[in-house]
Amino acid sequence: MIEVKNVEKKYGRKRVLKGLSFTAEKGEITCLIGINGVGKTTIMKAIMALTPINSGEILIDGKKIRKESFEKVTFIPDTITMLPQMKICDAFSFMADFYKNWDPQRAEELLQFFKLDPTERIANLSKGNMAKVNMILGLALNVDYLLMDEPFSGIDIFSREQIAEVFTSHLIEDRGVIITTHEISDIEHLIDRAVLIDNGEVLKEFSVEEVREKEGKSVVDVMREVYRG
Amino acid sequence: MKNYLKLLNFEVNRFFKLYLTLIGLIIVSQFIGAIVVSKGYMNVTDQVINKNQLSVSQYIKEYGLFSFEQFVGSEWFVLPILFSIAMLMIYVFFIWYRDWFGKNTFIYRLLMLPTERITIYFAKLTTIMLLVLGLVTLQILLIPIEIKIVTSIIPTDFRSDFSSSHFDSLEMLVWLYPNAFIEFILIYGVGLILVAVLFTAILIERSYGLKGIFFAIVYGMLSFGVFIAPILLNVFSNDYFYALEIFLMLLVMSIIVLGSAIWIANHLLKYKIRV
Amino acid sequence: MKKYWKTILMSLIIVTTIGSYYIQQAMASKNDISFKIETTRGNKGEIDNLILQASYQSDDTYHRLNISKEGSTNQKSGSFVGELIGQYKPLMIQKYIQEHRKFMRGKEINPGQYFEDEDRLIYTYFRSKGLGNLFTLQIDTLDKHTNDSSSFEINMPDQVRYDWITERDVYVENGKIKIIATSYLNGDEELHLYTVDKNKKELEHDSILAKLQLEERTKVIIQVFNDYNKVQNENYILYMVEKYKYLENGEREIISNPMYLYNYLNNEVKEWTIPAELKSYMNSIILQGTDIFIPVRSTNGLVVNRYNIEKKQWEEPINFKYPSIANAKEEPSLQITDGKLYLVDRVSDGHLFLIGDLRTGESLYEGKIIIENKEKLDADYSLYIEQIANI
Repeated sequence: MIEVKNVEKKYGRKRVLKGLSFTAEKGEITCLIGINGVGKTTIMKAIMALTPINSGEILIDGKKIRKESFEKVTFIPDTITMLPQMKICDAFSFMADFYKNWDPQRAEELLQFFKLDPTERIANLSKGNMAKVNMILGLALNVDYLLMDEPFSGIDIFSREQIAEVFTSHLIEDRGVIITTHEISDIEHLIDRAVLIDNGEVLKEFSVEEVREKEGKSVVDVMREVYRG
Repeated sequence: MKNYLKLLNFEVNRFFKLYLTLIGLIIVSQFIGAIVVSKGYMNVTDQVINKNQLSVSQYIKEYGLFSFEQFVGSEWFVLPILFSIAMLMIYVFFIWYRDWFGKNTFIYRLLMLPTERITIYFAKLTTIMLLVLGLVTLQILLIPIEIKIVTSIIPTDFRSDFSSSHFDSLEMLVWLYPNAFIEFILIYGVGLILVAVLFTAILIERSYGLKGIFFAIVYGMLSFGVFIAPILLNVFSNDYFYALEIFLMLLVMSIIVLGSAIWIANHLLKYKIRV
Repeated sequence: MKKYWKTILMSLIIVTTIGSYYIQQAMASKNDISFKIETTRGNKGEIDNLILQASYQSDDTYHRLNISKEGSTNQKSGSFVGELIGQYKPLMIQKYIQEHRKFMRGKEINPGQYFEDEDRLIYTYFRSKGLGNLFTLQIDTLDKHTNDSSSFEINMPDQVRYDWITERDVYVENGKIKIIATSYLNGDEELHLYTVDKNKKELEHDSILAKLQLEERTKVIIQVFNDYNKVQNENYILYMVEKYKYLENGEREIISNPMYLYNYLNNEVKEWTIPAELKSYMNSIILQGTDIFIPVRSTNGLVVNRYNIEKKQWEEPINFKYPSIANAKEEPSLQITDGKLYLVDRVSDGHLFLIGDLRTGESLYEGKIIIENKEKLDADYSLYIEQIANI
């Protein structure tokens, strides 16, 4: 379980996160929902210690983040985390070199699934293909938790479908996933939990299925209520 | 430890192509220079001798012998050195900033590696030292070859004795190639500390943004101040201390400066860095 | 492993090259010029505790080294860190630092500022205070038996305003500290004798032994003939006031250069005339005890002319015979200490080192200072001995 507890973050004078708290469980896909700039990416970076927080606590399986945590949780940001002049196979060798949990076979499978050429240089890839490679870098790691920042933004529809397919596969099943998006309609059917964020705070945290069954509302409905109401 | 070596190797490989280009530049410029300067000297000599009908010894009495220093002092020799120093100085900054900017967000990957983040710092620091020492080594290897080039063009009568260890002809070279090994360690040790402080200053800027530049400069000046404190102390106390004591104090101060650079860098990389 | 080849190759080349470079340097330094003293005749015991602080110069190298009966120790001239760290100090000062480390902290290395006898070591220092060319005089005393030190500072009177003051000699007796110093102000030079009452801790007297003013196109210098490099207690000071001017063709014309003897004990100043035939050897004058020595080098040795100050007469000159190379560009190095003459002079195969007794005129020791590794011999070298001391 990833616990975000009362996280405060200021950027200059501006309070970006104001005592924000939520949890994400293993085996569930949790979606952080909010408008652009509300702090979703910041939260993810904070979880990965890629940006500092002013106060509060972030625990991964009960522990603060350490170097071993990076074999347990990984982050797929909206930019490629490899050198642009690297070929895809070079990127994979790099991962294999440093991560014990790198699964080269799975990487190979995903490469074929996405129909990518391993000798292609990353800089020469289209935006969609770059996003796919980025995804492989995360998915081919046997981590417990995956953080994905806007995995569908700016991607063409066919690539989107491919990526969405991965979500429903065994590759995601047992893992804890935190995903951010501002286009909820695309993935509403995929997620388990929703965390509505506005103004640096969590407005509402709920189980998507429960709300649908008990109140007959979709996530978008709840959003309308919360944001407008 | 293994991760350190892996990262070190990675950083070295990244710069290697550019490094080879730099090496090529130095070799080409210095070899051409050796030829040009020697031939130039012989041409002038021949002209003067013919014009004034001098004998070899008369010419030498009047104009002196050709010394290797005349080549070492020429632009052909010095410019590539200066250029390399400039390149390496730039790379001290670039080795960090390149991972943040442009189409490159490799810093994410570096910071998410399952290793102590200070390893990144050490790997980059070692890389710079290797690059510097590599060029120092290159020059040591080139000089005997250059001597051969010059001696093949200028006959014995016209030149003074070249002994290989004449690194004292150029003021700058005395600093880069000190006579004693202990001095070598001291000078390059100070160089290492300088780079470490610069690295930490860069990390301060990366952690705190605009106000970070201000803190970074303050930090740099503070480190410098601490380092030269024993010298200042001695001056203000009217030479109270003897040379050996000052030296030991400087040694202690260096350790303090290096230690704090590393400690601060470690703290920033773990808790304050922003991507 | 093979993807590490670049790093490994680089590291190997660096380590081997720099390693062999410095091994080579170390080997080369073993071939540095080193000297030794070979005894020709006389009492070997004379050189037992002697150290000759020397400087060697050849075409392109300049070294300082210390020569003793054990050989020579080099200070590498190229070692700039050594230069940064180890400042050159006259042997006597080095000895004081070794023996009285705490007392010697922060003190200047001009031997003229020190006075030593069996019981104490006294240091004098004119410190400039603030901006108005004012000075204070600091006196530090160390009791050599108890190791206690005391210090006091006197404010020089307001009229004492100079650009700087150079101490030449200190003489202490009967509770009075006498300091001979040259003061400079806007080009004017004065030779002062300051008398300080040690017990009352005040400046008793400031007498001016010689005063010089810049006249148009003339220059004046005061030359003191007591040896700068040594802390010896002479009862006399010999000095010259030379007035000269530069002619149109750049040559120096001496207008007047009287010499004076000052007696510390009775405060008398008397003019002293150097015989005409010895005038050109003026720069070799050494005053020791109650004698003025003027050594003159000839083709078969050294003639030491001596004038006895108390008897006011020239005594029989002392002759030391050896085959000197009269035209050598090198001046002989001469030192007179405790009635002994120490002479180092160029001979055909090295340097002669001679110790003579000035009272008897006999040579006590004769030896040669020669280069140990002949291959390194640069025929055109010179060796100058700055100071010889008993350590």
